Amino acid sequence: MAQLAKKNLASYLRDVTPKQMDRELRSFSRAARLLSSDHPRLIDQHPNQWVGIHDGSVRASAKSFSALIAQLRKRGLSPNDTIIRYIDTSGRKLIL
Amino acid sequence: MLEGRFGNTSGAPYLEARVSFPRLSLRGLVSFLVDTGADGTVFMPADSKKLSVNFGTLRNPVTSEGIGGAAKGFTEQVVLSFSDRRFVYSYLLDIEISAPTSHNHRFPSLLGRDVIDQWRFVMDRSHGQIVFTPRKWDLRQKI
Repeated sequence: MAQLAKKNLASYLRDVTPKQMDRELRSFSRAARLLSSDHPRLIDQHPNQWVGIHDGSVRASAKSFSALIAQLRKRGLSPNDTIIRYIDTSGRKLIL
Repeated sequence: MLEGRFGNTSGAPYLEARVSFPRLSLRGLVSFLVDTGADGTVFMPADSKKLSVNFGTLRNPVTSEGIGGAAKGFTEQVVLSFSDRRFVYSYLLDIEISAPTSHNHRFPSLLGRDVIDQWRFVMDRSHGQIVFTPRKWDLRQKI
């Protein structure tokens, strides 16, 4: 596909309705709340592991990223719609 | 208003978005770390891999500077969409897809000022509040 122009943005997004996008985002954001500071810290349950969160719960965890992706696919979950995070226990500061 | 969240271990501000890459025909959902220090939005390797980005197909190599030194990546057109339950706001941007290295594979993707500059942004840690009010957008669709 060639470069998309802003005037063609609505046309590009025509395959998905705003309602569908909102539903996808709401579901994903709900799942993301598990990674929020007001929830029990996943650091206690999944230290130094990759976790995959879908539909509000941890659906897979693994020591490596590729193993996690394999687990998610085995459970019939799309990694695209899953929150994937490494639960770091190092305590090192992240300065990006 | 778009509602963000504070990260579980870091307390950093995060916001979720729908991401689609027109040229690559890929789409997915990503939780971005909101980074007012980033000139532009950066897609990190963990999110690229989960969306099955094939690094061999990327064009437009670019080098950016950060506290860790120079970082290589690729510029790619992307559509980012956000919902506040009344409207979906979409932005067409050129973002950087960071090349995988031994140290960046666990980093979250960054939502930079190419997007944040188009919003009003309030972060109040003591009240657990992170809200964004879009002031500009490339496309706004009523839900």
